[in-house]
Amino acid sequence: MASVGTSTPETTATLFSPNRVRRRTLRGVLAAAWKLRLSVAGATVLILLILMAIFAPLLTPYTTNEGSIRNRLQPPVWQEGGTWSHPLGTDGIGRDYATRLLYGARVALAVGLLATLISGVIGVFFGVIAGYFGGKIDTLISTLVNIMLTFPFILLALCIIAVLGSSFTNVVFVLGIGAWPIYTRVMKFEVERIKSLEYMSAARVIGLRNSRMIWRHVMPNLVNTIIVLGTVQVARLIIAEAFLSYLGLGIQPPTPTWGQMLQESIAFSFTWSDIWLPTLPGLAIFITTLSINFVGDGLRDLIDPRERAVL
Amino acid sequence: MAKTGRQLADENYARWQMFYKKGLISRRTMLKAAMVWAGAGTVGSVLAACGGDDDDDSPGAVPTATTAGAAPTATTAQAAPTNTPAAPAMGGTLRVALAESDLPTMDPHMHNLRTGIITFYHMFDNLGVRNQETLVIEPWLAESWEVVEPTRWRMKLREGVKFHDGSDFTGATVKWNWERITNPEQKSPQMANQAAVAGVELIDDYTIDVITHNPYPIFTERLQNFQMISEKVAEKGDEFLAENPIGTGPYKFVEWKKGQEIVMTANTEYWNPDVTMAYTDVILRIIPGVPTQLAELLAETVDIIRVVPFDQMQAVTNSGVATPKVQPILRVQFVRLDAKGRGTPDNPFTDVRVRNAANHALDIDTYIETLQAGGDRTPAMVNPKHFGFDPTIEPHTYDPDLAKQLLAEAGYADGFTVKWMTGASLMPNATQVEQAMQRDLAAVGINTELNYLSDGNLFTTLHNEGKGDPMMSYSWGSYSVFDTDGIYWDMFHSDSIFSYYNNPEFDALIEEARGIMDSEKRKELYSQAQRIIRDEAPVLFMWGLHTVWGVSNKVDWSPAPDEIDRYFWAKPA
Amino acid sequence: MGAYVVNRLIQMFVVIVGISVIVFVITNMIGDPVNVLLPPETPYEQREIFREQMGFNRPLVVQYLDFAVDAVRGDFGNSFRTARPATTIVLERMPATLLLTVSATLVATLIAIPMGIISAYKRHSIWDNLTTIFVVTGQAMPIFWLGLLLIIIFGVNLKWLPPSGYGDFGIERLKHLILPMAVLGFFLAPVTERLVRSGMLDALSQDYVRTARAKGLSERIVLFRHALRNTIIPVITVLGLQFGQLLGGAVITESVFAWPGVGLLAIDSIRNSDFPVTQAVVVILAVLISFVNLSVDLIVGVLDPRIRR
Repeated sequence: MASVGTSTPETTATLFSPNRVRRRTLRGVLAAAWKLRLSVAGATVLILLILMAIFAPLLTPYTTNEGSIRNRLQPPVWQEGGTWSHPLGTDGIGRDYATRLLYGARVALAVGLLATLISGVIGVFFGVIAGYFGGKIDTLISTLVNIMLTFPFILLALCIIAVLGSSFTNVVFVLGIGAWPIYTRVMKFEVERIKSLEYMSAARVIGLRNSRMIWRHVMPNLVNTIIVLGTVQVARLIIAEAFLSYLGLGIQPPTPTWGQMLQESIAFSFTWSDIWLPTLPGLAIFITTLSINFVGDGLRDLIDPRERAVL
Repeated sequence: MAKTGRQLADENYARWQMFYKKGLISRRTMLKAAMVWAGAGTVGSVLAACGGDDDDDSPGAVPTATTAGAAPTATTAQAAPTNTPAAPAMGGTLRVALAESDLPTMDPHMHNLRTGIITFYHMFDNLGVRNQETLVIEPWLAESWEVVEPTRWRMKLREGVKFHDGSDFTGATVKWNWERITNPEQKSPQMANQAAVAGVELIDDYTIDVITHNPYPIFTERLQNFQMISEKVAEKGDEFLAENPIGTGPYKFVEWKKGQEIVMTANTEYWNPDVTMAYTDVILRIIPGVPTQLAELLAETVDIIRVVPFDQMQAVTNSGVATPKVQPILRVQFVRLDAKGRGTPDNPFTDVRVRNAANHALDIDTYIETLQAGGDRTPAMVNPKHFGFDPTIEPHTYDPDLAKQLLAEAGYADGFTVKWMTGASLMPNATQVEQAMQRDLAAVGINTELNYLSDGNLFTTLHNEGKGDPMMSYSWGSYSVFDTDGIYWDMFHSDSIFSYYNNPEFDALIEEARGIMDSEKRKELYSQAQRIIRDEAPVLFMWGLHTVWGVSNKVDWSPAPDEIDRYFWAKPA
Repeated sequence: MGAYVVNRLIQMFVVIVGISVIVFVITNMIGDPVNVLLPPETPYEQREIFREQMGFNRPLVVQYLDFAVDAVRGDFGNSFRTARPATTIVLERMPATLLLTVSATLVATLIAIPMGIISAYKRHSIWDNLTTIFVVTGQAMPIFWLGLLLIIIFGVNLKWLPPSGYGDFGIERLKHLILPMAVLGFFLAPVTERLVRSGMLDALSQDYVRTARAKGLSERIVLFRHALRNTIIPVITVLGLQFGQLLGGAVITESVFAWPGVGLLAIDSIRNSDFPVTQAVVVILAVLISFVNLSVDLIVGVLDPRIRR
């Protein structure tokens, strides 16, 4: 949770935008892939996850909320008493655990992506405005960013959700609200840098309007940074949703979310034979965020000139 | 078919046997259960006395006159509870986990928390306490009481009782305490508990008359959760009281480490020789998370925890270091329906057919069997432990077809969608139960959107101001008043701020029952009232809770039906 | 330098005012203080009288100004729940939080710096990959679950450490500190590690490092004298900025380990609609965070005059 809304040092430190021409030989690609093996692995897992999320209804005969409480807590297939009808067992009210995990991927990715989109739009907008116009606007926005960064996000989330109640929309909204300042920070510096480039002064001399300048000349140069930053944020926001669930503020049942599944089953950690209950959703969160982070690392490497130099 | 107390006890015993077979409880717990069951005649006799339904085989039957709220005759102090230990040497420390966040104060009148009641029960004393077997309030700091007029109770107080600072407990003390708690300026959260008391008159140093505004049959019920503060200590001011709990109780206050623990040590000069504390020190630790508490119990760093999740009972038993102990309590769980249209005018539940349909949609027995450590069905919200419970009232059957039919009659053949407000719950396994209910309701066409409020005060505010959703999860501990009045008045009387129900006929019945002393007549009135509530179904009826404590195998201790843990009865196993 | 400090102080003031406004508005939206303060059975008329007595019926702006004037003097009013001064309540919980956060930061830094160096120096090696995995795990593992697992392993099964709590001052306190400190440190380490890694990568490709190498200086000197020194400044800056994040992690850690700090207090006060305490927690933390950031900036300013523009 806390990870939302503070700056990622590496991105601020090493991000830059212009893409260079790549050597496109097979060998070069393979060599690059080996160097970035973690990222390649991450991307593979991530693509699988996305496919699973999209095709969840085809992969399971159950819906997320069906079952009988008489059939509760069936063990997974690798344990004694487990059957293939519920390969990962059933939960506390008899729902198929595998189904809920699959659909949980949908929710996790939806939350991560939507909240990232919201925070990205707000954050980039403020960052570009602040960086491009500077002066009073910059001061105002920077103060806002400082306020957001000084207000412990989790307390803000607790307060806001206490007021609004915790639905899917509200959770996405709160996460989006909490995570935008990081974009503003990074974008502001980037825009200031781009503005000082020569072709920008040239464009200004020609007399291009501000809006045109921003759309034509500033934004295209920001895309790479935004993509890298956004990728990592998706992972952070998925974790953040789990934190909210832990505090009882996450998305409401019966919607299956990994955070809530982990929270509901966490006390099963005490029994070795039951530990799969918290472990599966915990692992789902872990693997997803891990993969996204690796992909983010790779993307960063690919568009970073110094990293390229070593490539 | 009517369930007598005996039958209820039998059912419970069967359940305990089942737990034992499943390995959820140890043999020792099972034996204890057997003893309780054997003694259930005692409980049975209370119900029998109330119901006039004689139960001859009850061993150790208590005089009917002492049943809750009856007592027009004098009651004298009986010996302290029967489980008198054989005076072992004192020593060691008992460590207990309290689930709440820290207590707000050390002033026993200025809180309304269960953990507060428990804490102050050890450092202070009450005028009367509940006998754990008969469930009747018996004299404690009071020596006896009698009704001299319908609105005047004469109370003889125990002499020679001293506060921990050496000051005396006298009639003036009691008078001061009642005046303090009923003073609106004091803003005690417990004021309503004592609202019936108009004043106290001193007859002599150790005799007082308590005057009630109206005849008040459940007067003695209010004597238990009302701890006596020394009026001399109180001269130091409320701020002093908030930090320094100086009472007459079996344990003395040592230290309050805020956010961490409350430390108490045995009062070697306790006035009641029957209370023999086995542990020199008692430490109440504040541990917010249930999994963390469980870890402390299993690590043997805490001896008693007050919540064991249902699915972890097995883990506790298997650990070999602790045992889960199931205890039926007075608290009743239910889902309130907005029958009056108070929060949402014209919501579907304003139609009695829809309310009954919703009740028929729920498979309560299965929930209890699979998701609870036990539960006493409450066909009309009244717990079998409440005086006035009518065992002849049949609960709603599980009948989805009937539910659909009723919905269709009410014009909801295609179902509807409503919001369901919920929050932190005292019910074990609450999330699972609610989701199971949600699924069963959806099966007949009642779609619900759960709305979890983590802010308990926000929940209370919305609920009490009439801004609640059409469905609201709720439980009611009746302020530990073992009388139907304790639940019906607050929950359903149209004047009560908790109520989302309005029925003048029902109001009249419980008003009459509140103002008379004749227990037979009261019982009859409550029986009528229960029939109304059963048929009008202003709530989704659930059950009287059975909660699970976790107790170290090194400690011999059992929880109590009134949810007030008495750690001074604990002794090394 | 003087003007810079004044400027920063003004900025800080504005930030704190902004935060106090937000927290004041939000807490007043959560619930009605009258309902928190009066027993639920209180009749409507009495509620309204009380509301007027307490001034809760005045416009929010007026109430805020009232609050702000007192807050400047360190008075956030009395807790609704305990009737004790909110400031006192927050301050008595502060040492526990400071102990936890400071020690966790230390642990995180001690892990992160060597790892970052190795990872940058042996780029794309197995060491780089291992540190990356280790470090990302810190951010990918829900810490409330990690915390419980550690409690079960070290507290319940091995019985090496107490499962939760604060312990008495001294050795006991240290024993109680180990697990929460490890969890929070593990949660924090990644940011610092990434920063050290990228800073080192950056430095290693700079001319002066190449020059140093060309001069034939030993790798150790190149790494620690030249490269690391230039990496450390952004690390310090971010450690300061991270303080807010740290507290977020502390909230969770404290609640898992029953650690009696400010984070736990904040959750409780929000859940109990105890506005004075919520307000005091948020504002006092904001002041603390701002001061940490300011002093970090000043230290960095002394180290590297270029920063002060």
